[in-house]
Parts: sequence; C-alpha cells; structure tokens
Amino acid sequence: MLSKYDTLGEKTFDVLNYLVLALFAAVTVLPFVYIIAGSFATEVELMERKFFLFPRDPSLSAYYYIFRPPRYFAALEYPSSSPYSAR
Amino acid sequence: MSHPQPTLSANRGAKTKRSWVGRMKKDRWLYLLLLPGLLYFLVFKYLPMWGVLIAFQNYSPFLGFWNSPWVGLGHFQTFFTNPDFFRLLRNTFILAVYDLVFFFPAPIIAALLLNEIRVGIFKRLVQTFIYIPHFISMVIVASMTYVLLTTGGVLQELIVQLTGHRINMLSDPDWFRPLIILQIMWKETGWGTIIFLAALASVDVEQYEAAVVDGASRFQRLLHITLPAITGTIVILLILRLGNFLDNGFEQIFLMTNSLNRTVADVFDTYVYFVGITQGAFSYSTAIGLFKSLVGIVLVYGSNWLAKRFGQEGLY
Repeated sequence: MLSKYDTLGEKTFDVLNYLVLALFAAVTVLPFVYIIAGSFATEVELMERKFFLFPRDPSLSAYYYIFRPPRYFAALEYPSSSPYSAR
Repeated sequence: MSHPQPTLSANRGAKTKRSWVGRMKKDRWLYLLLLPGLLYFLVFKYLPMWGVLIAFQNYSPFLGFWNSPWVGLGHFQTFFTNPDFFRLLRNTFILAVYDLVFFFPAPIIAALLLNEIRVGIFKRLVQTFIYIPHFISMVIVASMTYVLLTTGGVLQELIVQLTGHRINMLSDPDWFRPLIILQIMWKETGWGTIIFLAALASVDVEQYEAAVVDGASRFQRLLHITLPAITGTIVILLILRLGNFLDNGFEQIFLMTNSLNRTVADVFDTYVYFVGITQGAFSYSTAIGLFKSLVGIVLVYGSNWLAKRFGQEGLY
C-alpha cells in the first residue's frame, strides 16, 4: 500500500485518502443496508433500536402487508385510483 | 452516429471522383445504418419541437393546434411581469449555481482520489459501492431522506447528539438547498467518476515514470499529468451541463417540497408543473419552458465559444 519512497506528506495523504473514500463508500451503502434490514424487522424493533444492520428477529410481516391483496395489485391495475397517486 | 465513417468514403472518393449520388450509392449500407438514428431524432425530437408554437397561442385542447388563437408574445409578457417571476428565477438560479459549484467538481475530485489508490481490490470495492445510488429512483432517495431525517430518524437523532440542537432539515427553508445538493451528490457523484476514470485510464504510464525520474512529487504529477489529461472531458461536461443550467430536476424538487419550504423550493420546473399540468395553462407553461431552453442555448454557445478562446476543444 505505502511505498518507502513516499515522503511523510504523501503517506499522510494516502492514509487520509483511504479514510475519505472508505467513508464515502460507507455513506452510500449504509442507508441501503439500514432500509433493507428495517424492511425485515418487526415494527417494534424499528421503533426501539436507533440503528441496526441486522434485524434481531427477522420477520416478513412488512412484505405480507404490501403484497396482500388488494393493496399492491390495485396500485398496478389502477394507477389513478391508488392511494399513493400524485396530488 | 451522425458521422457515417468519413474516412471510408474519403478514401474511395480519392480514387475516382464521383458525384454525391454516386458516393451515396457506393456507401448505401452505411447510410442505411444512419437511417434509424436520423428517424429517431426526426420523429421524437424535431417533430414534437413544433409544439413550442403553442407558447405563442392561447392553446385550448378543444380548439386544437390549428384553431387556437394567436397571442404573440403575450405569455412571455405575463410571465416576466408576474410578481412570482423574480422569486422563481432567484430560486432556480441559486440552486443551479450551488449545483455547479458543489456538485459538478465532486465526481472530478472523487475520480482523482480513486486514481491515487494503489490497492486494486479497495478501489474496485469503493467504486462498486458508490455506483449503487445511481440505480435507484429519486422517489426512493427522497423517502429515505424523510425516514432518516424526521424526528426520531437516525440522522436527526445523531445530529441532536452531536450538536445538541434539534434542526428539522425537512421543513427548514434554510436547509432546503443544502439538502437538495447533498442528495444529488450522494446519488450521482460515484456514477460521475466513471467518465473521468475512463479518461484517466488512457494516460500513458510512461509519462508518470518519466516524471518520477525527473523528481516530480505525487502532487506535481497530479497537477501536471493527471489533471491535464481530463481537462478536455471536464470542459465538455461543463458545456453540456450549462445547456441544462436552469433544469433543477423536477422530480427531486417536487418530492422535497412541502408547505413550509415552498418559498425557496419553487423553481421553474415545479412552477411549470403546477401551472401547466394541474391548472391547465398549457401555453403559459410552454412559454416558460421555451424561455428556459433559450437560456440553455445561449449558455451552451457562450461557454463553447469561451472554451475555444481558451484553447480547449469545445463541443463542435
């Protein structure tokens, strides 16, 4: 990773560079993991825990909720009459 | 696509001087390949462009395109004398400038930083991670922002713990613009690096080796080899961006607007939607759209001319 020919400034830059890019990558990915983990968590866990990457007791209840007829399929069939249509 | 292999026909033309009909016959397959592209632009770009004529009419769907009365520049006059005009122009302009100042350099900086990484696996991992947000829709980004920043949301609570102040960024007008810029930076910075990394991949490694022999530090190498290698790309992207200068991205603004931040959130794009689509003022909103496009054309020509003055290649 570090070359012995680098000056101290260049080494500092390298370390900072790795940190900055790692932080950037974390900032782009963590929200996704949080949202995905949240979708598999129970309502109670989502309320209780501030932040988590793995749900304590995974559940599919949120998916049952959205895919239960008629909600999701009604939105596909009648976009204008769905409860989520634009104002 | 619009250049059917000029070298091919040029070589043949040199051998025997033909009329242009003869040349077209000779290269008929190349012209056939060009045809779908031409048709696409004619049917989907140039034909609908006649629709801007309704900006000079009092268009009514019942009278149709041919029978609607002409009003000349009336809609432009109403628009420019509208008390809302300056607020809209201000909001649009400030957001556009923020976008140019803060978002535009972000992919360049990210690409330069990535270019300095020597561990291949780390570079690829970071690249993969930062490309992800590009593939999700703005609706998801907006709803994620709402989830993270509402009272009780992870980020909101984190900010409270770090600063001791509770700021409601979603409804505070002062936070609207930073929020929009942060969202777009989060979503598109990674994807934007691709074009610069591609330009950087074509830099001859020997140049760096020669620079090392000459005793150039890494910063000097960055400044004198890496940066000049992508200057052309930066200029072209900047010119293209200026063509959409007054586009703030309707979807994003629309999704982040609420009744509390409307004073700073109303831009031309959303105004066109509210007035044009929901209130049915088609001609008026077309006039606004035309005004936006005119500003874009002026900026593209102006910046292209300026780029050429400074010895850059420009677009055309």
